[in-house]
Amino acid sequence: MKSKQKIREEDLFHDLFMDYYPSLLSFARYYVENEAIAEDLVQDVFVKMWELREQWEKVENFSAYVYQMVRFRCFNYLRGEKLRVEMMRSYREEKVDIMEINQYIEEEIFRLVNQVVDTLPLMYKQVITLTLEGYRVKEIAEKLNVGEETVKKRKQVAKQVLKEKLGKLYLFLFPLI
Amino acid sequence: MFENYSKVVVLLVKALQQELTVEEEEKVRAWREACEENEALYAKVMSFEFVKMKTEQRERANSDDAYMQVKKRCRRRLQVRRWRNVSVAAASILLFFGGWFYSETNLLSNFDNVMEKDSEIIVSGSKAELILSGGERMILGKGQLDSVWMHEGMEVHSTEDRVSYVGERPCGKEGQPVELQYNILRVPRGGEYSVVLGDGTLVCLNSESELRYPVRFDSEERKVFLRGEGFFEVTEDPEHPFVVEVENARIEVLGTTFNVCGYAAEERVVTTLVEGMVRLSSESQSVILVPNEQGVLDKDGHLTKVEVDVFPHVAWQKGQLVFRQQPLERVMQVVSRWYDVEVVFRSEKAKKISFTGNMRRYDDFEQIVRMLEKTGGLIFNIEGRTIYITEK
Repeated sequence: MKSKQKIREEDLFHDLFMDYYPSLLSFARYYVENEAIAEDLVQDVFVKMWELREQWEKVENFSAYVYQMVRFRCFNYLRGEKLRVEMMRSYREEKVDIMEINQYIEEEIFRLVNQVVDTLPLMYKQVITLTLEGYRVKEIAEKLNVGEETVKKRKQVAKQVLKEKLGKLYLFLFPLI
Repeated sequence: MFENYSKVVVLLVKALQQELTVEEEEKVRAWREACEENEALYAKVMSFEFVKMKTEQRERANSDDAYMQVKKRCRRRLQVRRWRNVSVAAASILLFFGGWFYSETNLLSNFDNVMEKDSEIIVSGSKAELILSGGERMILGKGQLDSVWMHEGMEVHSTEDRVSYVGERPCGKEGQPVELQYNILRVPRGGEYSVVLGDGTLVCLNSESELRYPVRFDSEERKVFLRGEGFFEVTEDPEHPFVVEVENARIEVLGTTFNVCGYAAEERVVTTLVEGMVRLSSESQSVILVPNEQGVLDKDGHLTKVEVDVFPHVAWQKGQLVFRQQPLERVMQVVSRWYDVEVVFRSEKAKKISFTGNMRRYDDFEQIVRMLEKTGGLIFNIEGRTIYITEK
């Protein structure tokens, strides 16, 4: 039997994971070219975080912390694999490069924007995400196995909600919809 | 490091929403003008393509599968841990014997011996004490939370087996030279720990060893002080030679990998070169070492150099103890440091017995002793943390 405390922890962990994983993966890819390895490294960080979950509250800026953990994990990997020469091409572990910082900023901006999109109910979210990826109404209808009219309707509702939540950002960011 | 830039993230999100106040707009402008890279990022984020590109990236990530993967791994690690706690004896099967042992050893009878004994000396693995320039002490190693903190303008990051120093280089600004601030990393008997210095140099410290180093290398020489044994992977920087001082020796390098063993008790400093080139100096002499060469400086200041097989000298750093025709006295010196035990020879002759073999450092101590007994003619008695060696 799982205690309530445990369930709460798992829920929080799940939410954090879903929120951060894609951004961290993209961030890790800045250091490690191989996608599968980058996935492993980011997952390592989450495994460690789960084991030390009682200590989360000690961390002041969770976002900065978790990016730093991924960065160090990547460096340790490159070091272990003797890929240091490769690593030295564009940056050095001992100096945080401006490009690394900007990579962090880039990932975080989109994560925050995406948090808003994520608050949409799933069926609306799917439509918005697919639209952003460049799919047409007809293609989305096929993918989701619904009628084209339904897709249009969902899109309209989603646009309305996003408009309210994102304010002017909506007009700027989603001319694609 | 990144926490200083969270503000920029918020400002840029606001900029996207066109909700910046006049004051904030000024801040964004200042940030953009700070360097080209910032301007480029601004242009990228503000473009229509940005959201499309990022959305695709996010979709590709397949977070659901990844989450299941992580949950599975969390459970597996828990199980492995439990298993380790219960079955110390079973773990002994994993002991690594060198080939010359393997052929003649009866594993099963060996196993029974282990089961009878109840004294248990286990190597504790990675642990260390870090003494900051202000005198503050921290315990690092197994069971400690990974952490990041600022110290003398450097970011310090610690994990279970390593502490790293990271400096910032925002927008091409160079730091002002300041008085050197030293930290000390101290590894006790039975421990092992690594440090990545401010210049990217990696130093693995063996048991009962200590390294004193500046938090940031701001002077011409990158100079550190070693006691005991360390494995160095020095970052290349010809303009700032890296210098290790240990006992009466001075080792000067330009970007290389080498091992220095200078335990005071062994009365000599042994430098083994893996890659690159180093100069080993005493007060009066100096020699140049090239890969696979070893320089030995004894306590009287005599300097010699020989060609060696590097592996036995650096294997400790990979978790192995490797001996090639070493006198037992020397073997026991190493074993006692790593397992934090005392060794008493009740026979002078025993000290000279030659021993060859490989051991894994994380094995049960009993196994190590059984293996040593195979040298023949000797009895090892363990009482508490002391080992008595007598002739049969």
